[in-house]
Amino acid sequence: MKGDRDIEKLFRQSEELTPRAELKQEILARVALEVQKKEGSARAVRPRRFRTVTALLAALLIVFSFAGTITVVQGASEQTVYIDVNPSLALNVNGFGKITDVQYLNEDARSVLSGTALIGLSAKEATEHVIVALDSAGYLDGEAEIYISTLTQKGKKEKKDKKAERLLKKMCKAAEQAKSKGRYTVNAAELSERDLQAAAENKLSPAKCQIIAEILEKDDQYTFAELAALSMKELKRIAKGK
Amino acid sequence: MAQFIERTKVDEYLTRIRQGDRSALSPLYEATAKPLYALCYTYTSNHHDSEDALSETYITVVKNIGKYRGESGFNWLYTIAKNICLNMLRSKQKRVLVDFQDEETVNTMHLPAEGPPRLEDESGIIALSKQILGQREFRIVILHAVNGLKFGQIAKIVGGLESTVRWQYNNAIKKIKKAYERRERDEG
Repeated sequence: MKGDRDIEKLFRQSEELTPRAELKQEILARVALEVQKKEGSARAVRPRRFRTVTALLAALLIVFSFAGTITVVQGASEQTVYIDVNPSLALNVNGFGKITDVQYLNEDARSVLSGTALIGLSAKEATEHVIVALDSAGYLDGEAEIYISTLTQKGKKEKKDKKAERLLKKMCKAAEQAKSKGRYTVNAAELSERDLQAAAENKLSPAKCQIIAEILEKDDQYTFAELAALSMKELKRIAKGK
Repeated sequence: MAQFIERTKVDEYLTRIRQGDRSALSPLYEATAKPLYALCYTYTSNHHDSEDALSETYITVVKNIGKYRGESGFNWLYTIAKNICLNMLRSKQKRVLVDFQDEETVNTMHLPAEGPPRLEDESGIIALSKQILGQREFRIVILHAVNGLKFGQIAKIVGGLESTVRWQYNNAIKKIKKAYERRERDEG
């Protein structure tokens, strides 16, 4: 007959309540993402007095700058918008709709776009510039698929961010109307925080991660690595089962 | 082997995180993930939600690290994890009930299959306990037998007097012992 200590020993020996090994990296990646977001919004929010002083300084600089080349853009809330074809890049758009930062998410993007000045342009202008540059480099030949995506579902309840949605529509329209000779389709992708988390873990753009996840749910003949190497056009074809 | 939290280590890691040293997150996780996961499981009763709750716990810790007072870190972690689980359960109660017996519905929802235990539990003691004990009893047993908490600590988490918690634990262990022996007789 088992004593109490024998029963307790069985509990201690059981691994049933041990979290799986991969969970650690997933959680640490998610925490890192949250920290980044927190630090981003902390930078954007300033104490009231600081804002007033900064606004005054900005006004003075604008008044006394030469040739109108010095401008101070005080961003309110930043939104990151991703553009994926096979080159993938991320554009930080501030509350005034201006580009404040560009991140190249793969080498293709860096080699095509590093010579294109995007910072300081409006989101619309930057999108047009990106499309034209991609077209010149031959990435829009033969029915390319362009994915433009941004975080529109925020918080635990994945509440829709209307401002983000409007920005997404604006940039998609700019992409469609850009003066390029290439034939392409523009796809808008709305992202949730889980998509961003998966993208951070896999070091891919979120739209690409989203479509890969969609494919892997339905079809297990591919591996994540195989799909990650494909263009958005190829991924869309696979996702549609063609 | 039960993981016993080294309290002073947890305080040390939390203090480092508060000072901006993110490298302390990894050892904090190593020291606390298993007991926190076990606690979450006693609320959620499934691994999927337990993982979500554990993830939310660490995110909440980092977001609110400024509120950490420099001591009783593991109590603080337990409180955060417990509150997250309770919020999760409350929000689940508000959702529309779905017929989980309907295979088509379940497949469409892409729900993770809970099924048999994911990891080794040769004795089946966890599953057996979950079947025969009430939720509070199950929680008390896990917190003591798996997490190694003292009854006074458990009383602070689950509520009630230390003596009551001790009595409930002993009662629960008797029930488990009976059920375990009955099962061994039936299988043998």
